[in-house]
Amino acid sequence: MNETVYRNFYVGSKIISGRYALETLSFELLQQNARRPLCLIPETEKAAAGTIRKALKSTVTVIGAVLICGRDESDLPEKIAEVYREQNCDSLIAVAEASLMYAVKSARLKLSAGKTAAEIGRTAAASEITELPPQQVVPLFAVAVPSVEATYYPHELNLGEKRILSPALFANTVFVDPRITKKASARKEWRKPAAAALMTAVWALSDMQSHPAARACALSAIGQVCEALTARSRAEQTRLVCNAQIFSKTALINSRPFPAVELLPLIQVSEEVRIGILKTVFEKELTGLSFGYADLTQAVLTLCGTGSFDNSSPQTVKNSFTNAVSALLEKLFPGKPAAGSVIWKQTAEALPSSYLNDTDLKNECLAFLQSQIGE
Amino acid sequence: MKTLPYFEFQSKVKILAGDGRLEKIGEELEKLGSRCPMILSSRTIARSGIPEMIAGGYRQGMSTGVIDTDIPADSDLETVKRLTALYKEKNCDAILAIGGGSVIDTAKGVNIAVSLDCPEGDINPYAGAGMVKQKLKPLIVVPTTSGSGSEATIVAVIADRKQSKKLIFTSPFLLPDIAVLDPRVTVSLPPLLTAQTGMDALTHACEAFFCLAHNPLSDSFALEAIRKIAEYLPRAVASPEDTKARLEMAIASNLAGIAFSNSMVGMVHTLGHTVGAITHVPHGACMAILLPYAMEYNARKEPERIGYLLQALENEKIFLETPKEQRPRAAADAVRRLNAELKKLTGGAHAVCFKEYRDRDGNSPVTEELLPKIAYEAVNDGSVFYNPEELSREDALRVLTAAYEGTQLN
Ligand SMILES: [Fe+2]
Repeated sequence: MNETVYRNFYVGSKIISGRYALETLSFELLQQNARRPLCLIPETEKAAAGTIRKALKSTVTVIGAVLICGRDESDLPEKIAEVYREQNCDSLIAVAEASLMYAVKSARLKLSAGKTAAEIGRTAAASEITELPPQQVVPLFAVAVPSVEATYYPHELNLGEKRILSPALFANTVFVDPRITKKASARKEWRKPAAAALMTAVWALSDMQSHPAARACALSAIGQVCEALTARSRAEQTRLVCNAQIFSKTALINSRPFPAVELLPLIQVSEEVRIGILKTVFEKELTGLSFGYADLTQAVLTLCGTGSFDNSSPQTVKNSFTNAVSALLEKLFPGKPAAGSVIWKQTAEALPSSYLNDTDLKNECLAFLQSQIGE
Repeated sequence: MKTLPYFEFQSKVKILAGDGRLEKIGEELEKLGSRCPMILSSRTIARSGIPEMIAGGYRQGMSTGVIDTDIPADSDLETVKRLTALYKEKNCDAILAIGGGSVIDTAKGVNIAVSLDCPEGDINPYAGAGMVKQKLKPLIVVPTTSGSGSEATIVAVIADRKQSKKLIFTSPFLLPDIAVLDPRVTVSLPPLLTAQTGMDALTHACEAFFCLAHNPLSDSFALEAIRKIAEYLPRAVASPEDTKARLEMAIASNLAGIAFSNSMVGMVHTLGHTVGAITHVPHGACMAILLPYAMEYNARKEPERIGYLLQALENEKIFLETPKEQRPRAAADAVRRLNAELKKLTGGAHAVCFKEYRDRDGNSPVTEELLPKIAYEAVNDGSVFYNPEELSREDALRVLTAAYEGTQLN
């Protein structure tokens, strides 16, 4: 008998998504026995402070303090911990912009264990710390903004040479509220995070050993992107894209990510090449999938206005799906994509130097790109 | 498929699924800081060698504090009190529950008592919604039936027999830290029980998908569960030793549990709870009989969603070849065919309608005369609020009558 082994699966954060999602903030705080949060707002999202304040009005929650956080404050974790103690706070609410999320997690560790992430990183031996000691961590509530890098760094802290990857780092709850997502500075760029979420989801799906629950999350992500395309309002559109990002990221962290997926956001290539890569990867990955997509294909085709498809056999359905996704990407990124050797050359040239230092990783990425392009 | 504009989703239980996972529990206990867990289980499980398999994975210096198998079919306060004293006496530091719903609920109750220092294990003050507000001791569960999905829920029900009432606890902190799905735990489940609990899981998934509280994530979890159940339930019933089928069923049941605990259930549970309460027909048997009727009954309100179930119950090809308006009925018929197959595989023991249901002594607990009483009481069950279509007493009786006779619903 061939053994079936699934990897573990978990969704670290509770997800609350929809109009007035923030109105549940007080209730969620109370569930964690918290009433006095410290509110952390990135400089770029100042307007969010007002929305959060409004959502907490006439509840038992009292905002202990609001801290506007700059992008390049190196002592931010210490500063957060200081204000937290000074103002007798008992929880953190963070508007989830990427660099701030790292600082918040670091601050949270300092408040819980008396050590910052950097200190824990120095004393721990392994280059990847997967479990933190069980502890009563300070409750953290994250408010999503629509950028794939920023919204949902679920359980990871990068310390340069070391990485902390622990379930203890998840935010207790992530709120996706259209009042925040539509105001967020990244709103004009919704197509990019949508495509990135699709990409992440497909990547997670391509891992045949992943847990079925991870596949479920990936499929939900794709569904949300499809829905986003026809959403009636911009607010709803960004909310759906945020959902897709969270779902796809959840799928991916429960799958085995291929190195090249981490590579793509790093490489500086022309838009045309990016589309080319996305399309090529999608097509290649999808042909390896083993379950049906008729409904999704129909949805994607309808969205792209490309009419009916050949459903005479599972193979034609699969082909139609691949075509439909290409059409969807065409819609997301209009323009003529680069193909074949152009992608290959430009991408290889654009490989960042940090990857070039790691010979194995570089070779693996190059081999991958080569296989994608078929040269 | 359109999704609703608002949803909440949580599933903080880490899932360890696969053959050989029991031996990984030691490692997980260590990560959770435990060296001396208390095991709660049944006599059958204790005799089956499963505690030994788990102990085989213990790290150095780790040992089972105590194994208790004296847990009633409906978890109660007295048992929680007794086990709380035992936990303290043996200096345990975590709870490992291997069993069905009542063992898992008892474990949740004991965890409240030992973590929050309840005097004499009286957890009464924490009954209600959201009263438990802090992290409890580590809890690992190994579900032994692939059906209830209680490893994925934030609820515990404990009977207080002295006050003759049920204490209901809900809190996110009642979720276990880890659920372990290992096929070796369920291979001993007899075919009929496998069929019934499997149909309970299928009902959780289907109702989660078409009830009013569905959400984008619960949708996908439900569909994944349905695909697996349609494929593997007959296999698990036909060959109980088939560990691949057992594992897939355990996973499917868990996926369905996550789906319905983040969505809701509907009229299959509304009617099924009452049939069970009045006639003592097992929950899973009621679910199996009633599910196709609920699909037909709700088809007018939710044609697209119920029709879509056909894709998961059968396959893509059949779904595509069936005209849209015929899909809901075809999906209900697919469930009927699954029931018929299970009936064949269990030598006729798995009932497809109430008329043919027999208890252990060969009696028919559900009679035509009882149906009006069942219909009368059923509509008070909370689950009815999430059913797409309104359900009056007359409607309930109409559905029950058809499900009694085993005829299609018009
Ligand atoms: Fe059930």
